[in-house]
Amino acid sequence: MPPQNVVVIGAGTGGVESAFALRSHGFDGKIILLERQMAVPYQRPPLSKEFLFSTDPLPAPLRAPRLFREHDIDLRLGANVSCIDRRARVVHTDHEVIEYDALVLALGASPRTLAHAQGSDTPLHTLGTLEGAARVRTALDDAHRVAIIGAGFIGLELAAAATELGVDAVVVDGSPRALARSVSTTMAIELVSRLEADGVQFHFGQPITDVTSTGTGMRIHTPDLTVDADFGVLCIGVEPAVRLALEAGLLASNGITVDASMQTSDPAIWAVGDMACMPFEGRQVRFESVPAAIASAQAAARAILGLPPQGQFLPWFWSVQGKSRLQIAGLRDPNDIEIPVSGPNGELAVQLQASVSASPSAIETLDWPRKHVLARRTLANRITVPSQV
Amino acid sequence: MATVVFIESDGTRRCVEVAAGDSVMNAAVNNGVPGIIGECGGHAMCATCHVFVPETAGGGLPAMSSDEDVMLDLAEHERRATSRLGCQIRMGDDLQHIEVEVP
Repeated sequence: MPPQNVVVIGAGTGGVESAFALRSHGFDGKIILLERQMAVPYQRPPLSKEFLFSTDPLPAPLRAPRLFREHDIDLRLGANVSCIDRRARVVHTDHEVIEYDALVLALGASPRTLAHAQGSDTPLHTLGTLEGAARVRTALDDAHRVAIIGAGFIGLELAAAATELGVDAVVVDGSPRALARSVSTTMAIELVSRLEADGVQFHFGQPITDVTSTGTGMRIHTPDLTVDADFGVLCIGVEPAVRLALEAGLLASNGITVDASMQTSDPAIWAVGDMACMPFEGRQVRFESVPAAIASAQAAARAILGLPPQGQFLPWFWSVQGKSRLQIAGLRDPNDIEIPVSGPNGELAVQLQASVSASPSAIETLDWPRKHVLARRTLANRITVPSQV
Repeated sequence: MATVVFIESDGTRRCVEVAAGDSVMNAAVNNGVPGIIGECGGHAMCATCHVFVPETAGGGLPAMSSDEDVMLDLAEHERRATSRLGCQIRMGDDLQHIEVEVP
């Protein structure tokens, strides 16, 4: 019996795409899209990039507001879900109880915070939401120096943005290098050296031991140094927002465990986007990317409607750090070896693969879109990338 | 206000107003034009905003960058001589009106 009532929790990329995908696949039942924030659903990648340079109150919207009405998607802003009752198939918000035949969880992931800095008046922000990014944008206006804790994608993008705005950026990370989780050493070194050439300072191997207020700003303490800045931004990764799901008894380990159709351990509940831990090439992976959020939303919508799955998801990712444009096709295994490749004009690519003779699991490219395009095709076809382009 | 006319594959014409500085991709996404997504938010990284711009479309079209040229090879629909990435066409003083075909 096909569902008549679909409830989606979270109006980020995963949630919004799920709702619209249901409509585009012909679903004409009820869709209620619940969002805790009051802002019109917006894209998140700009929060660490162009939003910091603009004066607009919002980054680019995910869809124009009237499209929700036109597609009969009941978008409810300011709706905070407090509980999922799987037996009764209802969700509770602060004001009402909403029935569902199918439930899509798209709550995403929230920035990690530092326990000892929480609740203090130390100027330490995070970038995960519009509110946080707006605070960072305001702080950048008056600041001479920003301390960035964490040299991941968000940290590096922010460092580039701050530099462009004329604010000194100091990046501190406990790891021995930048982008330790997601990018090859070769590529990370190149990205960092470009940022250093623009004036960004880096301190690696320096885990944070304390963050204190200095009256005029804040001070970061690490084993070997202190860094003073007007304000700080925590860019130490995100945690999937699984509390509601755990309380409801769903299986969750590094996000909500789902199968290839995004179905959770409850057959009436699906999870998409940054909170979903999905099967990929023999392991369960939680992606933090827009392409994965969109693909998972499409998969869930099709599965909810009983349609067969369509196509194989090829993960890809991009990051813009100042003028550096990084693209990644595929998903590397942490044990992969790195094979750097140089382009005809000095461009850099890095192939990640299990061994010298193996096919690449992933290919990173820097300012080399042609190579990225070829990489996406190659990985889709699973043949070895030639060493010359 | 600039205007963009989207001509869908079934011939439907849709005229939308676009604020100066917004791209053809922004115009499509904001107005729900089917078939144009902006998966990478307008950074010329994904080619999901692929459109065809007929020669008669009007002057003031920005030149194609080499990045755009390369990314068009990744577009889902086969590339034509008239192919452009919608996110790279910004409306404004130089370009007040344009007609594009959606693949």
